[in-house]
Amino acid sequence: MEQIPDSQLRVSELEALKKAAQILARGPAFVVIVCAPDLTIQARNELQGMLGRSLTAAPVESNEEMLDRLIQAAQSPEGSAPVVLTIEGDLKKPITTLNLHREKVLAGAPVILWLRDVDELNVLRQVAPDTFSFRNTLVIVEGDGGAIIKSSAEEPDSLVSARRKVKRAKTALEKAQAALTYVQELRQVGQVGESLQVAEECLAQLGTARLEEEEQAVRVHLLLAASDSAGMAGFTCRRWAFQRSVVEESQQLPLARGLSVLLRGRAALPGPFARDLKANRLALDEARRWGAPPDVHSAILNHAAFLEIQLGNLPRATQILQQAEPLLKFQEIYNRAVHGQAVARIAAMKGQFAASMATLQNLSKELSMSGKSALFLHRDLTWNWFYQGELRVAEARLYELALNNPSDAERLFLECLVASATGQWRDGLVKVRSALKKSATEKRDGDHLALCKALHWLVSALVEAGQLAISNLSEWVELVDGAQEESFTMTAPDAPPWYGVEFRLLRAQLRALDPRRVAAAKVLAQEAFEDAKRTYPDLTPQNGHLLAGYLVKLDEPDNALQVLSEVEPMARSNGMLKDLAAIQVTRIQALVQKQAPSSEARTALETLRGVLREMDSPRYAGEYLLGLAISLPGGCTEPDVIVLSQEAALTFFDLPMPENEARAYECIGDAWSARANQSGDPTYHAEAARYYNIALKRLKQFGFGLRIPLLEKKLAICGGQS
Amino acid sequence: MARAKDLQEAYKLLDPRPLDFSNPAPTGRDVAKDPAFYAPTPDVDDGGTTLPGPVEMLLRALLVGGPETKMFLSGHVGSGKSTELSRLAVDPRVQKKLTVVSFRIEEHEWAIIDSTQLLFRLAGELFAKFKDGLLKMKRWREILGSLNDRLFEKVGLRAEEGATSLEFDLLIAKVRTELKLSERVRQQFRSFGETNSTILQDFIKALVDDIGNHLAETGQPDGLLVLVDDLDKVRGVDSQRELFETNLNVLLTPPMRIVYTLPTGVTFGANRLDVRANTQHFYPIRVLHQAPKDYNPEDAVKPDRLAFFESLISRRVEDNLIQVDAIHLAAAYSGGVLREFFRLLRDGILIADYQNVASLDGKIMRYAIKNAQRTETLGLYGPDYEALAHVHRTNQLRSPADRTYLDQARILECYNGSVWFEANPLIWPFLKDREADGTNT
Repeated sequence: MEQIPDSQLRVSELEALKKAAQILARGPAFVVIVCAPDLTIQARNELQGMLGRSLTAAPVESNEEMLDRLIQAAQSPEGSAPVVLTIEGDLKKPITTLNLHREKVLAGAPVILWLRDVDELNVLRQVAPDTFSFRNTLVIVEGDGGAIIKSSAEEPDSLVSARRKVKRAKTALEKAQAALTYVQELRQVGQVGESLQVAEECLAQLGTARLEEEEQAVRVHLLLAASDSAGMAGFTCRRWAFQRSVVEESQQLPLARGLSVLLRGRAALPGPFARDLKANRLALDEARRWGAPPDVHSAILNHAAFLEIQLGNLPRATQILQQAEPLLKFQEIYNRAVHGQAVARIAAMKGQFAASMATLQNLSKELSMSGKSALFLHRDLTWNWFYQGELRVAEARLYELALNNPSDAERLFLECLVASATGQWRDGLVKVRSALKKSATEKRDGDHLALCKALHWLVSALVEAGQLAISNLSEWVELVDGAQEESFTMTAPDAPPWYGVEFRLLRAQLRALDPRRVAAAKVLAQEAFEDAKRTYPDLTPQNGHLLAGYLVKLDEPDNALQVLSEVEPMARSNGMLKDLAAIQVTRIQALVQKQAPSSEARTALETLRGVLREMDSPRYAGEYLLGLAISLPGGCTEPDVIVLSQEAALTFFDLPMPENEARAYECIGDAWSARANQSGDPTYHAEAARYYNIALKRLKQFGFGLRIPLLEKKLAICGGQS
Repeated sequence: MARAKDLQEAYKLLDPRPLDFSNPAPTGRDVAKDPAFYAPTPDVDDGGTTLPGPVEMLLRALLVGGPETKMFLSGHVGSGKSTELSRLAVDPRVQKKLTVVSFRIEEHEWAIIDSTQLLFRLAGELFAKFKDGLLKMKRWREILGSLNDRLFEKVGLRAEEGATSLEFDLLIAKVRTELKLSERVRQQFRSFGETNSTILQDFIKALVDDIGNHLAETGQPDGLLVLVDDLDKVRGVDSQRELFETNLNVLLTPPMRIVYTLPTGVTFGANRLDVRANTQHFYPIRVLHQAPKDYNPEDAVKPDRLAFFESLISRRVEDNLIQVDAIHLAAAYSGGVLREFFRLLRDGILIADYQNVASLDGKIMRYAIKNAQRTETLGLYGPDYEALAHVHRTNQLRSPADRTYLDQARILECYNGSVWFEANPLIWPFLKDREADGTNT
């Protein structure tokens, strides 16, 4: 195991220390700091810098020393340097004295009580509740956990043993049997390319003609393993082909032998929601009906949970994972890690980042200890850092991930998000362009599509932030148009059926960023909608609400409402909660546009809230409410844009998701500004400026640079100063 | 005292320290202790009828009872015990009949507390307060000399020769220093005190007798009332047992009326119903009704109690500086614990400052509530949530071990004719899922 590098302070922790410093500078104050021991020096140095004075901590070991320090603090004149209390040895004794003399902490010099962890905080609460209740603020410093823990440089025994078995094997069957374990082991240590290569070689050696039952059984398992590796390497089309073969060929085996692999094959069949909705649910039903060995059943449950997460159906995903829990006991670490990844992802989607990260960090340590690759968990961890606005940490982790897997499309997407968030958006565009080219050359069709989506996200964000002129949009529209052609070439003659729908939709979305090209976007979206109905109906709800959005933009609200009514039942019956929420958002937009009676908008908003409650995710609630607020005219009061944005801002503050929080403030500012223009009331401009300033402050604190120039412009228009 | 005109001043005046009724015109930082800020607490709701509050009950017992009366006042951390005790000392009914000596441990340099020290310091406090009168009596020179010989010399604390009052002052100073600095002397003093407490008790008896005479001679009320605050801050099972069980008689024998503050949960041992009967408990202001199926404290608010919180604020800050919706939110989430109520408002003020607004409203207050919820849930693990969910659901403790949550202020002890418990309102939203599926989240 390599030495774990030192943990660094998070931005949010620096902010909390800054708040503490401000309180300490006001006069007598009592601040409790709970700081991981390895961060004590960093945190104290930061605090010293903020206070502009040195902090000396003499450890307290006894009741008497505690009393002396408290008397010293109480007798120091106001304005004196803070007295820092750190406790060595038995915490309870000095803390007892601290409780007897609680008022001394607010009598003279400020007092900082420095604790090591939350267990010590619990002791403080238990033994010195009176003093604890005198606190001005409480700061928690945990740090970023340090760099990614790398797996041991040595290969795990299980991999070495699997390789030896492959070498020892004599017949094609023996080779294939041995290779099966070897392929899985290689994938689990992160050597995905080699894993796929070995699987394909063995499959070729085994052939397809005149196979005995034993050989056929090994073949379908190898196909399944090859499929997993292909998927991880970004070859979705190949994965799709492998997986279909698994489903077809496993049915040629006797039921007792083929059922498990058939169910796994179905559960993992790729689709636009990472998995195919119908096949996945069928596998889940059949596993329940027929039963499956614990490892197979738990793998199916994991696949099912990931699908529900994609659909936004977090309660159903949670329920599925709970069914898997009793099966985990005897599973190997890798399977448990995949289960844990799903649990952590649900937590992240709900905005429970601390819980999500704790799960990921624990599993990642466990995986690394056993010599397996934990990079897939670290990618999720990095998302968590990004959501919370910890860009520096996210950047550092991305750099480490890139060293381990340079062509990972999701990592690249995240890298672009971070780059654009910090204002380095040009780098992001360049990276996506070159990665697109590379993925086309290497025929990694899955990565290719994912990168097009990343490009759309990035370009949209840039246009909305005023960083990319509409006049420069065509370059990117053409790039994605070309990418669709490339994708057809790469995947011909057997392209996954959802590709065409998704590419059309992406092209529509990019065109729609230019108000003059919304009609063209509508045509493409219409085509995608019809195509989806024919080829991949599960995509119609998503297509439907995007098409309806363009219809609203083109002032055709009745047509939009009609489309929404058409797709809503399918979204509902499939439990596609994300789509269902987006349908309600678009419906409200259409109702507002057609100036429907306010009761209709109210009812639609109530329906939206119902869906959000069903999703059971504060984060989604904030995101959809903010999305709705942004999409409505600033002057709209039914529903009230300001109220919606304020609700979203509070949610994002709580989670915390500072970038979204700032966006919500900006939206409130926009609404006040629109109302100022409508009414001519100058106080509305002042209010707009205030909210723009709060947004600016939040963005600057966390280093989000993308929207700062736009916000400054808006602020100047309102006559405000940052 | 002028009310706060801006949020900066408001922050200062929402200081968590108790009000000080002994100083009607405080200055500097102590302006926050101005007794003019006091707002009478609402009547206790005894499940339909209203009852006198605990301090009123205590006061009546003191006025009716004789010098042997010992009363105990316990209550939730930050519920206002010290303020009420300070106010009791200046109550006209008390002042008419009794001479009050207030005694705060905070003002003494004790690292820890035990019964011997308490008795000694009590004697010292009485002597110091009335020494001018006492020293006119010749026998005090002898009494002090004897005390010096019999008690302190044995623990090596004999004072230097000098005038009697000075000698005793020096003795106190020396004892204070020795007790503070040396665990050995402390233990020696304690063990001596335990076996020879009668010497000190006799000394106090004599003191009280002579003080009574002196008071009568000088036309003051001759009944003595000593208010011993801060004993409720004695934490730890061993310390509490030493004071309130093993050596309980030390607290009960001094021949004067005494009120002691008491940590919650102290029962004085199995057979002391007589002492338990003299305990009054100070509950948080009952701002929430029982709401076992509700996880939003705002829905459980008792609207008739909000006026009290508004009056608390209107005495300290100018109108509309802290808006009513912010006050109501802070009241609901504080669970009626006054110090928590102030703390939430102070947090709100810091956020208002960040957002550059001149007044604190409900919208900003919600940010402070979210912040406080984040802090409140720190250090809670699965079993803690289950225990707290049980309390919220049943308004009862699951087991005596769960009293530990009372110590940590994660549970409130409430009263409406009978005692019930409630989880800290800040954590209600986090208990919801615990009930729904019986598992953690």
